[in-house]
Amino acid sequence: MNTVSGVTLRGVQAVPVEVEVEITGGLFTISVVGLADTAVKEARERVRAALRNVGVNLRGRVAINLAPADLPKEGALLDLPIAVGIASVQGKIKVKKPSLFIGELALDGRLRQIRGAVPAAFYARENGLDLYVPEDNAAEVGLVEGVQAWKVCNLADLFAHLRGERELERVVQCEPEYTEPAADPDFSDIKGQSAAKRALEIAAAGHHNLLFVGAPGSGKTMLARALKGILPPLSDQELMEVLMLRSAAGAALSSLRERPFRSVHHTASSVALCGGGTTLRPGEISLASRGVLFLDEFPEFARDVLEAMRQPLEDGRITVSRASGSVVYPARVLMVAACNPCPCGFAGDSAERCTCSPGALDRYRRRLSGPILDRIDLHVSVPRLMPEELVSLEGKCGESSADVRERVKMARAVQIKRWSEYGIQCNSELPEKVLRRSLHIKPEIKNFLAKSLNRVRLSGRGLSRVLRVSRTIADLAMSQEIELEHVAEALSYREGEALAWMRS
Amino acid sequence: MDEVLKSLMLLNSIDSSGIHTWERIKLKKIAADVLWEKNGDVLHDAGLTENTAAMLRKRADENWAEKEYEKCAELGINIVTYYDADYPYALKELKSPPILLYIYGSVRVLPNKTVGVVGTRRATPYGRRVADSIGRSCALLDITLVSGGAAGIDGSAHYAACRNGGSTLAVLGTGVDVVFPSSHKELFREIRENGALISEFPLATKGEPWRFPKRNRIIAALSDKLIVVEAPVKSGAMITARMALDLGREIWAVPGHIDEDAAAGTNRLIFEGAYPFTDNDTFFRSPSLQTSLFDSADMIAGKYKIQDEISEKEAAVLSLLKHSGERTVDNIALEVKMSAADILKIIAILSAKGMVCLSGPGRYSSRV
Repeated sequence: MNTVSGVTLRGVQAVPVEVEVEITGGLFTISVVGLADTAVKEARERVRAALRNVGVNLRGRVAINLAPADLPKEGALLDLPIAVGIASVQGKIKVKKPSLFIGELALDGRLRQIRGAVPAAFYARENGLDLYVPEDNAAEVGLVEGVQAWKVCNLADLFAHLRGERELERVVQCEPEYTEPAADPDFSDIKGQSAAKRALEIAAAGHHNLLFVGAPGSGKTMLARALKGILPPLSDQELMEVLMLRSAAGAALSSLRERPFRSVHHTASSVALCGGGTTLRPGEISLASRGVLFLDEFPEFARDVLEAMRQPLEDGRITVSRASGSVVYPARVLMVAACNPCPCGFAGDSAERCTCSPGALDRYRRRLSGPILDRIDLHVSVPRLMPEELVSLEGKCGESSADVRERVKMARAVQIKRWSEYGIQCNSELPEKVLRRSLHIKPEIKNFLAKSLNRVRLSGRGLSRVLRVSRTIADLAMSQEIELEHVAEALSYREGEALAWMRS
Repeated sequence: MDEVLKSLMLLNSIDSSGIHTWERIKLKKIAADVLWEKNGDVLHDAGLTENTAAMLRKRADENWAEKEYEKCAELGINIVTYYDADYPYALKELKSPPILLYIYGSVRVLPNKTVGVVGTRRATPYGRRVADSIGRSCALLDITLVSGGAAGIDGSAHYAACRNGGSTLAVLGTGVDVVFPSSHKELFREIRENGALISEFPLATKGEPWRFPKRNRIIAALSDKLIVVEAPVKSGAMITARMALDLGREIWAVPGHIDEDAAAGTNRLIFEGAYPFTDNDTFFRSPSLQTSLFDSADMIAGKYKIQDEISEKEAAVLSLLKHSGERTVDNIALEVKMSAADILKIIAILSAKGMVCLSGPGRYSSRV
């Protein structure tokens, strides 16, 4: 008997699996035990064919046990350790150093790309194991610092390497490169809308949630898309978090340090958004973690979907529990929502008349209110520009996305440095405790806030959010202290102020 | 529980009866405690039909009044009957004064210096702006604002009064514990803190179309002066205006665009002789609203002035908005020749001082 180490995925974590193989005499059968899902069960056919193609013929009763027995195993990344286990029981190879094998086998013995190589690499590094990965996963594994890994392109090469006949190629360490994201549309393409652009800048700098309210055609969606171009690159810590998740979800890695931008249609179910399903997959809110989750036509989303997002928006992670167990996914998103002020879209417009009946208006506003809005820091209304206004703005294109991004990057760097002792990346993450203790609020600002409380109707949570946004505005201005003008601006983005025209 | 109060509450719960029914009962010298006894003739003598008498007796048997009274005590709702000293004298001028009022809020005694504000639920941004500025002025001058708690003009006026620390009364067409429209949940809470919700209808009464015109007579009676902000020709606000006219109240109407449906009623009122509401000053300086005989117009103007100092740049932005109406940030920037970033800062400070507000999506106006 022999054991080989493999891993399976639990959320974004790699969990160790011991692969035990026993071969006894008798007619040829092969069986896999240990809570394997269909993909793992089918491994026996792939393993048998692959082994035959590299010259290892199977005979007798082959029993494969995946331990621990009560842990559900998923995915095809256990193909390789099973094959290695069988070959070593037969004495064809010998695994000398403690090693971790991952990979899916093709019938001819080639190795295919798998999901979860990055979590496996982290696991291997922590436990001092050598890691053997499919060649196609080498690029992402190379981003994990300090892991001993070899690229395997087919089973024959691996066996030769383990026998000491031929050396496999090592995975080379590489630095995650950063290419400036293409700004499409660029800030300078958007005419006017300075207020909305400013809100986007603050949102990008401090990772604050944002809501755009405006008539159809006012440019809400275009503005939201322009956010992509001013986001700061992922920091090292964030990159690893995002990398783990993308690898576990099998989502493509495009430009590495670019933040995810996920746009979700309003027909999405709460499972699609929050994660779940029988095989437990991360939802959009997790795939967009450390990046932007864009919800267009916000009030059209099903009520339960929006309610389900409340807790993750607050905690920055989501616990998905199913019969097969519960997993925690990161969910630190910058939520950008967009909506019309009323069903017809023209409430408060300076030229068009709103044709909604009071009843329809009431129903619509009710969908738009509630606890989820309390979690939005920046409420912004977007004007629909009249033709003559557009003409008057001709030739005034304002700053480009690249200029704004420089400011955002600087503000973000300040935040990372300031909060380094708490391991926090941005102001919106600040826990309540730290917020009250470490932000020095001048007495005159306290006075000012007390005076405004009644007018803007701030809840306790609302006040904390105002302070966090104030800190970000101060950071953008490169100011050590929070000044009155920063708080005044932060306050002007509260619902009670920015959407007061929609009330009653 | 007092038998008279019980009788009044029961009578009030029957829609068809008024204070006159009770007066008749009193004339016949029927004691309140025998009113609900099995003897059906007593109620019949008082002029009640068979059906209403039966309903009254059924409610009396169910202890409806006791339960209602208990509920009111629990929620802190005050019941003021026609015979109480606190019953507003103004209501007695009505042809059919309410038998009693449910008063839900922090105000116990209804004040005597009030301005009524009524208007359409489908208000235009202009109408809302005017309602907002009236609400603010009332708050600054300690005048109680009376309105109907509905969406549109009513809501804007109530909001402005509450948020600026003023007192306001909402006369509802539902029970005082019912929130209608439901989006006014927060607003009603604020009104209860700064004033009161008032209704003659029993608790839990749902809104029905005919109840709203009925409550309009209370708004009309409670208002010393009534401002119609925006109203189509056929509307509840116009009904209120006519009722107020019958009571001899001063009617003010806000002039509007002549091609606007929502202004047709108000413009018509002006044509028929209502005071045109041309600006806050003229209205609030009219003699009957002055706090005392010694309060001069200038003192009111002084109270009315915003005390905060403003910088030169802020003044420039403010005067632009005053003179040319609503503007986006970019347009202000173009016209006063400053950068949009500076304008955003100035606007934030000005709106914190309450001098500027968003009047539509992304458009700022000065507050009067």
